[in-house]
Formats: sequence, structure tokens, C-alpha cells
Amino acid sequence: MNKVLRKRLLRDLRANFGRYLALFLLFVMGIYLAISIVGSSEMIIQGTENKKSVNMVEDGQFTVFLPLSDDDLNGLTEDGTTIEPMFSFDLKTDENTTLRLFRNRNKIDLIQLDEGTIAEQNGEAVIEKGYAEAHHLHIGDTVKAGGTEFRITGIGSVPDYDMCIAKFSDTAVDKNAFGLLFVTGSQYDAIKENGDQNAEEYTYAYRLGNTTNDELKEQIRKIKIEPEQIENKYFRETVDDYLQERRDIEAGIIDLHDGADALADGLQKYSRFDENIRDAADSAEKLADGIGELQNQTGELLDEVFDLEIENLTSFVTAEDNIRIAAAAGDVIMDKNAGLVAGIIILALFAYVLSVFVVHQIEQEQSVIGALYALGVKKKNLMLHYITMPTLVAFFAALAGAALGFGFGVQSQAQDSYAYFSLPVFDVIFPAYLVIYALVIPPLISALVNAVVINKKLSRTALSLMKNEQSAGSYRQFSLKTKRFPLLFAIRQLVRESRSAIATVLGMLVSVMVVILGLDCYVMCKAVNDDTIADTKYAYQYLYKYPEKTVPENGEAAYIETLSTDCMGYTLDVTVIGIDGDNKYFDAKPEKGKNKAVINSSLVERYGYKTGDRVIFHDAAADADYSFTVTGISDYSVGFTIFMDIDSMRELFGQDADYFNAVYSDCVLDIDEGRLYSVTSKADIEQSASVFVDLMFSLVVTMLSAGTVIFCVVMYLMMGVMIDRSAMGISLIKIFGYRPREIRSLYLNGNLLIVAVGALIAVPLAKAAMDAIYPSFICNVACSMKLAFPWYLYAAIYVAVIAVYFVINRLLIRKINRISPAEVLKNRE
Amino acid sequence: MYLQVKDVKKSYGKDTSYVQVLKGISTGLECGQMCVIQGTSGSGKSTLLNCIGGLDTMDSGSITVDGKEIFGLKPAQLSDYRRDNLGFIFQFYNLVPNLTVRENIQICQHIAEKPLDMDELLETLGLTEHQNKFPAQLSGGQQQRTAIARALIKNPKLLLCDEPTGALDSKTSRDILVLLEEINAKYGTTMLIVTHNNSIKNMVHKVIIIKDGLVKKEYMNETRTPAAELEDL
Repeated sequence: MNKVLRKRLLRDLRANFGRYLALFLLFVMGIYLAISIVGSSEMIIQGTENKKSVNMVEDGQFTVFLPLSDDDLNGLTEDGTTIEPMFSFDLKTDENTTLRLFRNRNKIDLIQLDEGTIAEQNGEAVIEKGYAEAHHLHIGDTVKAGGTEFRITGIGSVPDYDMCIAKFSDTAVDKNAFGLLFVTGSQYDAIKENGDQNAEEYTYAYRLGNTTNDELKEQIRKIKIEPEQIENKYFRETVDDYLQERRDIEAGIIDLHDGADALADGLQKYSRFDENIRDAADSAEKLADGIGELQNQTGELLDEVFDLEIENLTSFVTAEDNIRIAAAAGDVIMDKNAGLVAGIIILALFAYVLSVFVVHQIEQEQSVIGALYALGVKKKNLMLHYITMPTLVAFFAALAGAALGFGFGVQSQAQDSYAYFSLPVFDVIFPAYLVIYALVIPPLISALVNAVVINKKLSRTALSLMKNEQSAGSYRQFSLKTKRFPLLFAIRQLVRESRSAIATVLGMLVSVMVVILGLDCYVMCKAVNDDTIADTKYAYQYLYKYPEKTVPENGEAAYIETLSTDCMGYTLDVTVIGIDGDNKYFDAKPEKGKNKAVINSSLVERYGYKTGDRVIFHDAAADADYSFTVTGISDYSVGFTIFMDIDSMRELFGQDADYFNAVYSDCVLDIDEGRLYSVTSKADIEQSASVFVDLMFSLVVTMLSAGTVIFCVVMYLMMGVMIDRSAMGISLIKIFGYRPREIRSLYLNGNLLIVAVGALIAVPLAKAAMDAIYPSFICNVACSMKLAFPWYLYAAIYVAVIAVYFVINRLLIRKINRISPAEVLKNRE
Repeated sequence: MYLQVKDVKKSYGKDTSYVQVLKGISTGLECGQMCVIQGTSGSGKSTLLNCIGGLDTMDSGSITVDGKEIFGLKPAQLSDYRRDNLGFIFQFYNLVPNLTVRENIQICQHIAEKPLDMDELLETLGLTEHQNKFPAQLSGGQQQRTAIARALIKNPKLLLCDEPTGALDSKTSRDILVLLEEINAKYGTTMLIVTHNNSIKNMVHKVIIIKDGLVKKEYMNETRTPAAELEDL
């Protein structure tokens, strides 16, 4: 029997080609969308993970004042830890760009070449790919930096500069301005000996052996240096400040001792004249002796009081905390989450479209099913037959969608990441869940939906199916008072097609959700961009590494600490800024009090805090929690920020009453560069803010285009089903002599009402649903989350929906025109 | 002649699937006459009815209704032709399932220039008490009467009936035929009835028998049997 029935399959495909094609396209588009977004994210995340062992990615790095001795290194590597020097210095090019010079790596953070070879001789270099691309440099070209010419033998990337920024405090990658060069050890030393370069940075990368980051850090902290060994003048200044009191005491004692000696000598000269003077001279000598003794003892005492053991360690950053490492992988987490949600929405859409499609098809065929059933064809044979075609269509569509997605979409979607970050070219990966999602789920859903629907149909008797019986209860029965027949008919038609109407609105809802998901991404990133620029009222932010005692002229002092908070398992930084009440650069007026803070709008948007709430943030370095009462909310939207009164903050964190480590200004300040950790201009912030929009752009475009296509196909399918279900009625009224315009008004105007009213419901509902789940997409990013659409965006979506309706309407008019008046007569046979 | 059919030919398909259904049919009908077209399955009677009803096009020949030629009319013109002249009754009623009896009839009332009085028609067809029921709540006979009312509300000059009693039992069939007879008498409606039923030919003015796409025989009934007295329905 199945063999005979199978012959129908191709005929069925031919007969319903348009509908199967639409279904095919829907599946292809849906699978492509999910695969390309999630697949590209997975490729970068897992590719980065896989490269860890290939490129021997560091577990962390530390920087020291002075290179470690062999003994120090031996001590640190006793437990199997590997340490490799990553010393570097920055070379200027003629175009005023910076190339950071490294030796070739041997053990850690190995260079991943895209093309060419490692530098093997002096005069050769491997250049970082982003810089090479920005400056159109190729293998064999020459680049001149620090007065030395390098012939490029290779172009590649290193995992410790995945986000290729010069300083950790840099806010955005600038491939035009900064890159890396890798040369032989002898070349490096030759340039170093040349002597007129910037100070060398003594950084070591490590891969842990049988120890932990904390244990290694403690070991390194035990390595001390003498104050005299310190080369950095600002650090020496700080040490000198600290030692000045000791020197003052020592000098005072010396002066006192000298004075006592002088006094004893003087009195001695006159002791022969008077006994009292002689006694005084003796006492003065004793005083001088005592002071001498004091002077001798004070050394030890001062050693105890001024315990100055200077650690060689200047910074210790684990790979986890290093923003340069695996930055792209962290960045695409949001894409992956959005893609997964879109994927789930699409699966729901598949199930729903299929159910409508199958119900309609089975209803059309129910007399055939009844006849076959009556003839003794078994339920499972019928089920297999009716399941086969949609399941095959779903399978081949899934195959095509997966092929397109994995073959083209994944790499295409990853282009933004490749363009911004310094990444090796990753191979496309095929995560099991994605392959199952793409190849198994669609046909499975198709088979299941068909099975459920057919099973339900086959629960009726063969006779009932053959007669195509419609029970009196099949239609909602109610009386209508209107005398206007077209209105009456349209209402009846609407009620009759209420299931299709609901299905259409649901389809609209689901596809609009995909569109709104894309728009939410865009709106949020645009808001981050615009608000960051608007809220940055200062022209320059100076962060001190070695704070001064006096606030520079025209500068506004602030005290900054970094705490953290948890967001769905991710640890996000919270910047605490201590400011004076009259600080003109921040829209916040924090009250005095160690536990009072004004929180910024980003925290409110993400966590829903309000004035009066108690909020707790964590200090990872001190392993302590800080609790604050929210006394106000600032419109400042940059990152997660809280504002405190600067004096209260100094008190809270145990700093001096005049301490500050940041200065804001609206002009360039005269601060020695060596004293600073970073200088950030408003232009830097504008550039970094725009990165959000740039990186999300392809995701937004993909979501919008896929959502639009899915929406069009769903609308076409659903409205087509409504027309198909009315084919007999249309044919009938054609026989009665209804004109095309009258037919359209009876059968299509109701659809317009469904779409118009449905869109009014679906658009805000889809927006609310997407806004509700959106925080989970950006759980790894500390940023504001403004998702509100301007009114015109809602209007644009609504108009687009109606426009799509009219386009589909035109196609359906052709469909209606094709319905022959004789159709109704076929029912006779 | 109110209805004039001249040398109508109609074929379907091409090459091996080519079949000529009507091979040159010529016949006619006077205004107010009831006529039965009989023939075996595949003889072409339904195709002829469809051509007369403007539902199907003919390859050649001529069909005039009330002096108006319908051969060569465009779909929109055919639509107007049906709107202005014709009423249809089908074997399986083809009522719109989600419209009440009254609303089903309103479908045709809405496009008629001078429709008959709805209430009077409902009364005539014995549907007054059922007018607010839906088709699924009616018996086969009541559904067919609704279909007849729907066809008649426009007061058409020509009523085309395709197996009007084909789905009904003999008693209900008789009731429907009586009704058609009464309507013919009351409104002077010209009726063309396609049927397999051999008895119906006795109640009409004219009988046309078609075989293999040609009129095999046509004749006028000298003595008509009233529908109420028909046997073997």
C-alpha cells in the first residue's frame, strides 16, 4: 500500500509546489539564521578555547620593576609552572603609530601565523594582522619602526593580544595606531642596546604547574627590591615621601647629638671656674653619650616603625581578568544568546506553521483519508504517507539551511569579530546541539505535528471522514443584527477563520519577535553609543598610577575604586567614583556617609534598584563586601557606576584625607606622563562607544532580514491557507456573478482587519517579550540597557506589517482570480 | 428561442489525453419552459450546462440567452451575465456553512437589482421557521430548499439545476420537484435540469438526451405528469 501511496508524493509536491516552496524557504531561512549566529559565536568561543592548548595561552601575566633573577625564576617554577619573559618596548613609526616589539615566543602565547614564517634573522619580523591590514602590509614588505627597518616574514596574531590594545585601560582597538612586532632575540637585544627607546616593560607570562594563581602571586610578592634599585622616578618619589619622616627623625637625633656634644664641650671649657659648671659639663657629656646611645638604638626602632620592604611585583593579571585575552569570545556571548533565543522562536514558528499547514491539508484530504481508511488501509500506513512529504521538505530544507549556515553564514557572521579583534582564522565547528537542532529537530517537529493532527483526524469514523461531515457545533453560532450584508459576511468569515486568524497573528507575533530582537540589539547599542557620548562631560580623564598630593590646576579630583557585582553568573565591574559635591562632570550629588551612594541608571535598568534600597558590591582583591544605601539615581549611563562623597569614600577605603587617583578636566592638563596609568579623552570614549554598534551591526542586519523574510513567508502561507479554505465559497459566489472587487471585499478585507488589529497586539507584545528576556543576552556586559523604541519605530514596524500585507494581498488576489467558478462543481464528483 | 445552442464543441487535453466532450450540440429552449437534459456519465451533459452557465468556455459554436451571445465573453462579462440572468442549484447544495439560511439567501439578494421579497420566498419554500439555522442544523431537503431560495431570490430568468435531487431520498426529491414546478408556474422561470433520474423527464416541457457529446434525441412532452405524481424517484 505504501508503495502505491508513495506515487502520490511527487504529484502532491507538484500540486502544492508554491506552498511547499514557501515552507522550504521558511525552514531554510530559520535554520540559516540560527546556525549562522550561534555557529559563528560557537566558532569563536570554542575556537578560542581550542587554541589555548595549541598556542599555549597563558594562565596569567605579571609585571615587575626589575627582571627576575635566575634564582627567583627557579623558585617560581619549582612546582612545574612555566614562565616566559614577554619583555617589550614600544617603537614609533614614521606615521606616528606605535609598534610594540617582542621577542619570538617559545613556550607561552605562541604566535599564530596566518601566512609566512617566524622571523629567523635580524631585520625580519612578524607583524600583527590587524595593523598589517590597516596599513596594507604584506609578506615581503618593509616596515620601519624606532629607526629600524623590518622585512615582514609573517602576519599573524597572538592570544594575549586578542583585543589588541596598548594599555589595559584603553577603551577601544585602534588598528591604525597600534600593533605588534615579533623579532628574533638578538634583534630585540640590538634595538634595546641602541638605548634611545622607551623604557622596557618587564612582563612575564606563566602557565600554572601544581599551584594556583593566588599562590603564585604570593610567591612573587615575596621577591623584594631595595629602594635604591627603583628606576621609576615617580615610584621613588612615593617611597621617598614615605621615608622622609624617618630621615627627619634620624637627622633630628643627629642634630640633638651634635648639640649635646657641643654643649658638653662648651661647658667643659668653663668647668674650672665653677663647680656647678663642672657638674653641668659632666651632665652634658652624659646627655651626649645618652643621645649617642639613642642614635644607635633608633636605627633598629626606625627599621621596625618604617618597615619598607618593596615588592618587585607591579601588576598581576590572570588570563580571566585580562581584557586582551579571549575578548572576542566574551563579546560574542550576547550574539550566541540572541541566536539561541531566535532559534527557539523559530522552532516554535516551525511547529505552528506546520500545524496550520497540515491541518489544512488533512482537512482538504479527509474524504480521501476516509475512503482509504474504509478500504482497510491501516492508520500507520496513512500516517506514514501524510507525514512523508512535509517531513522530507523539512529535512531537505534543514539540510540546505544547515549547509548554507555552516558553509557561508558562520564565517560571514564572524566578519565583524575578525575585523575588530586580532583573531586567527578559526575553522567552522559543528557543535552537536547545533547539528541536532539543524538536521534533526525540523523533520522531527514536522513528523510529530503531522502525527498528532492525523491521529486526531483518524479518530473519526471512515464514513464521517468520507462525508466530510461538519457538525453543527463546528462553527460558532450567533445571530447578527446588521442588515449590511458585506459586513455581516465579513464578520461571519472572520469568525469562521478565527483559528487561521489567530494562527496568522501568532505567526506575526513570532516573526515580529525576531525583527524586534534585532532592533532591540540596535537600539540598545545605539543608546549606549549616544548616552556614553552625551554623559561624558569631561574632555580628559587622568588616572594616576602614582598619585600626587596637589590637584593640578583646572583639574577636578576624584577617587576611583573598582568593585564587582554578579549578573547571571558573570562578574561585572562596578566603578565607585568619589567626587566633591560640586563636581561639574557628573550629574550626581552624593550625600556624606560611608555607606551612602548614588547609583547610575545602568544599574537601575539592569537590577531595578531604587532610592532607599541597600545594594551590596564585592571587592575581589580584599575579599570583602561593601553595602550602600541608595540615596539617589544618576542619569550617568556609562558602565555600572556608583558615586560617593569623596571624603566619605576616602574614609571607607582607608585613604588619606587628601587622596585622589583621578582627575577630570575640560582641557589638557600638565601632568607628567610617567605618573599616569592612563589618559582617556572624550574622543577615545566616542570611538569605543561606537564599537558596540559596529560589532552588532551584522547581527542586527541578519535578524532584521531573516525576521522580515520569515514574516513575509508566514503571512503568505497563513493568508494563503485562509484563501484556500474559502476556495469553495469564492468559487460559489463567482458562479453567482460576484465581481472581483466584491469578492475581494468579502474575503480579503477581513484579513486586513486581522492583520491591522493583530499587528496592534503583536508588535507591543513581541516588544514586551523581547525586553523581558533581553537582560540575559547582555549578562556579561556592564552597560546601560535602554530598549525603549521611539514612537516612529513602532509606527515603522506597523506600517511595514501593513505594507507586507498589501504585497501579499496582491499575490493572493492573483490566487483568488485563479480559482475557477467550476471549482464548486467538482464537489459533485 | 430564449436559449439557443448552436453547434457547440468542447474538448479537453492535448495529444494522447485529448478528448472531445461536446461534438457539435445544437438545441434550444423557450422562455418559461422546464427542460431536462439526460445522458450517461461522460456524455457531456454537465459540460453543456457549464458552458451555458458561463462556467466553462467552448471551443466553437454559439450560445445565446435572451438573444445575447455568450461565446467569446471575457471572465468579467461572463460574471455579469451570470449575475443578471442565472440561478444555480447544485446536487450537494453548496451552502456556506457559517451563514444561516437567511444569510445564505442574502448572498444572492445582495447582488440582485430587483430581488424577490425574502420573507415571501422563505414562506413559499417553507423555510420561515428555519431561517436562522445553520446548514448543519438542517435536513438534506431543507438545505436544498435553501439552495433553491438562494438561486431564486435574484428572480433569474434561467435556472440551471445540476442533479438537484441527486443527494435526496425519494420523498424529499418529490417535494423539491413540486417546489420547482410551483416556482416555474409562479415566476415563469426557465429551468434546465441535468439529471440521471428517469422519472423527472415526465414533469418537464422538453427532454434532451445526450450521448457521446451529441444530442441523440430531443422532444417535447405532450402530456406532463405533475411532480407530485411522479413515480420511482
